[in-house]
Amino acid sequence: MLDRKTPPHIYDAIEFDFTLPQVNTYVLDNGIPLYWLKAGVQDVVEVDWAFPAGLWHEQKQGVANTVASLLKNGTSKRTAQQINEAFEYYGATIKVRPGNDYAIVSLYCLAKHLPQLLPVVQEMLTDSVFPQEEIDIYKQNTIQRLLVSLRECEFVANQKIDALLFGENHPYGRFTRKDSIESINREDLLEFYNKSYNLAGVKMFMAGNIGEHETKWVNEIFGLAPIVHTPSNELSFELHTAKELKQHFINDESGVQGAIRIGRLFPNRHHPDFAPMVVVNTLFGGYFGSRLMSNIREDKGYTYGIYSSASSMHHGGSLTIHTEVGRGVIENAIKEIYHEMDVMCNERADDEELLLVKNYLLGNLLGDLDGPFHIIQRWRTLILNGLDINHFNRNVQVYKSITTAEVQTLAQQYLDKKSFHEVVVI
Amino acid sequence: MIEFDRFVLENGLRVIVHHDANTPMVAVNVLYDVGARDEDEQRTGFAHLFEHLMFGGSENIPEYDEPLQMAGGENNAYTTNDITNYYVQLPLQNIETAFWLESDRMNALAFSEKSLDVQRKVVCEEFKEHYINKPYGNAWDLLRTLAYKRHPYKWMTIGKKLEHIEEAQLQDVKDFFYKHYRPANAVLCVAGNVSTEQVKVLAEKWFGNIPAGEKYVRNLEQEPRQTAPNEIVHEADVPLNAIYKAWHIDGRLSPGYYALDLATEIMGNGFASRLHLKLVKEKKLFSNINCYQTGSLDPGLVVIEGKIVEGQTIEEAEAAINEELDKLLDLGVTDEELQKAKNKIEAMMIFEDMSLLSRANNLAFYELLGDAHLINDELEKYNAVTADFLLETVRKVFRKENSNTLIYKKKNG
Repeated sequence: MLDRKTPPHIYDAIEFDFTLPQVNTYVLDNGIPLYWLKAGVQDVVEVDWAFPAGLWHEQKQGVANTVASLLKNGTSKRTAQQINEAFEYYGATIKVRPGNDYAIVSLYCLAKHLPQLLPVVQEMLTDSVFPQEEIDIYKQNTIQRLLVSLRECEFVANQKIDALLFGENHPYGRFTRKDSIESINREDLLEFYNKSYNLAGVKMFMAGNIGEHETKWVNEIFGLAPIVHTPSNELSFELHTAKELKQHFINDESGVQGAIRIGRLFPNRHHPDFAPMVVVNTLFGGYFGSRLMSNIREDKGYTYGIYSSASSMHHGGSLTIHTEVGRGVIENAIKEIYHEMDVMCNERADDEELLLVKNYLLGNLLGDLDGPFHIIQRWRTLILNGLDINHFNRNVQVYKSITTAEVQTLAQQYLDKKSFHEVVVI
Repeated sequence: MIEFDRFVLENGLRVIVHHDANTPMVAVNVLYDVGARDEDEQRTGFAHLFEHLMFGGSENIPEYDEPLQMAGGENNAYTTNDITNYYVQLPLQNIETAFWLESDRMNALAFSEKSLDVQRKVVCEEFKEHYINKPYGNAWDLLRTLAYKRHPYKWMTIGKKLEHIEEAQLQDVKDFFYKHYRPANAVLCVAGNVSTEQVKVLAEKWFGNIPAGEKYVRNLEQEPRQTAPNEIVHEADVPLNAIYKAWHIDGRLSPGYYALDLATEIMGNGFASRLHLKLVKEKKLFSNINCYQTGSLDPGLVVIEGKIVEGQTIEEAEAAINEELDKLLDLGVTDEELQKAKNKIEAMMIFEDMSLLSRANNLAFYELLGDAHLINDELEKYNAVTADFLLETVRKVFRKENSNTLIYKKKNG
């Protein structure tokens, strides 16, 4: 008779070794650094260009996003249609993601198509012209999309919590408005493009089933471009965290749910508390078995999901709890969230629970180190933050070794309910 | 080419093994041959609600998630109108934990009243979050009801209404389990650095003694051929007018499916697609427009949907869609367009195959369709489509009497 009660033996992931495969550094003829690695069996490749062209670097609101969206909408040689056609014909994807600090241009394609596609990217990055008609269409459609998004409580709540934490004039806190999109003009875009998408400031990344052959192709296209260093005038902004701790309002009278965001400012990944807080946050609200999910979804059924997550930016960070709950249980849900914070601060987690969180986190890390795109993403984060392999190795060590006492001490420091801002949007 | 082995346990459980020596993880995928199409019309949303209950503990294991997380694993599940799929990914060393967990919940659930009570609420919140509390959230409900009069595709996976979920009883849960969640109605796929022999031993040990159960024989009412166009106008408090148009297409395995899928690529997927270029960029009638098909196993729908630019009329916008369709039906597509669509599909498949879970999921899916080998024939089937055959297919599909139009109108607009 099969014994179904006794679980099979578990090998604890905290005992595993974690190796981040090395990345190769290649310097193109003109000095652009290319970080690349070979992994995987499918003949695919990802190439990234990271520019300091995120929200932090814009002088006028909305410009970073608009430039990112319109990069592939016309060069002096090709129309938007021709550019899109060039990528789509080969089944390739080009994405431009404007983040808080960096904007990352990513090309995903079959490796054999690089010679056809790299020149198109090169044109986009050195010769975009932002045709007026493309700008007009973009502005009109972005405003239309914004009108739809503004009906969603989740969207509005996300805007509000960041504005409370960082201030409405801070790059991490300000949000898109209809009038800010309307006021953007072609000169703004060209100025930002020329300043921020300068190849002198780019870092390139490449991963896939590739080798030196492909790095040569990159060099042939990108290594020849002239590099003009311009003096960078680093912008700085002051935080204006709102005095008012709570903001509740009704965005949609007929809404049947409320979006709850409870957040605070939080150190970024350079801070020694960041790595251990990854463990604390996972336990608190970072995975399906977390305290928040177990209580508010799996016990009370107030929500389809609840998470807490940390965001790390160059010049700051935040820790935010987010959930959408039934309109009738908003107050109960908020009460339970604060209750779980109190429990984190006042009671020490038991060893079994912490071991589970560590095994979960590290088991997932093992999966996250699998495949070329995952590995290069780790390296991109390290390199763009000025960190190296030692940082990765130290973090793994922290995930493995943190104690329940340390978890409680960190919770007392970072999960004290008095230091959180609260937003509810119905 | 995706290599695999296949065997069947005595109780009818089909097992697929895919060997991949390059990964430290293993994917364990259990696919059940049941979806929202198998529901009683008075109890819709049940297949999906049931999926939630599969995580509420089984006969011998009070908590599904905890032991899996302790083993460094991650899991999830999804329900569609056709199937229900459960998947786990965990470090290879702990593969047996996945067998233990999956087999115990296939053997017998705990059928806990508390779990049912909580998950009814959770699913109701999911329903609200995605289908009620979102602008245009009920568009698919309206469109399905319009296009299907008989076939159970007329309701969404989440269900027709909250009440159906709120009324679910424990007895319904038990009946559903013993009808659909038997080995004879399931496919297990294991992918990773494992041998077929290893998987055989584990599968026999953990799944071998689960009673086979009765093979569920699906006998759904098929949708009669549509003979006249359907149209409704729905008014709601949304910021923009929108159009959804849907036409009935062939089932998943018919040649027409592949031709039509390629046609959707050409018409409405990407910034270089016809509808985007003509209606968003040139005529500026739509702020966005897409063309896609539902990918259902029984005959599904091809859909064109878009939001209309403020100030443009619904009539003009709809006429412009029809004009593009007429052009397609008159002239077909060029060889270059067809080649582009095939290239896109090929690249998409290769990118998908990078993921171990995706390979495991697809193998199980094709096995359910009749034969896991189909996974390796897909590209060939797309490549076999000629411009002539594509034209023949779209002419059959995009007929006025086969069309269903939902005008989603803003109030006072």
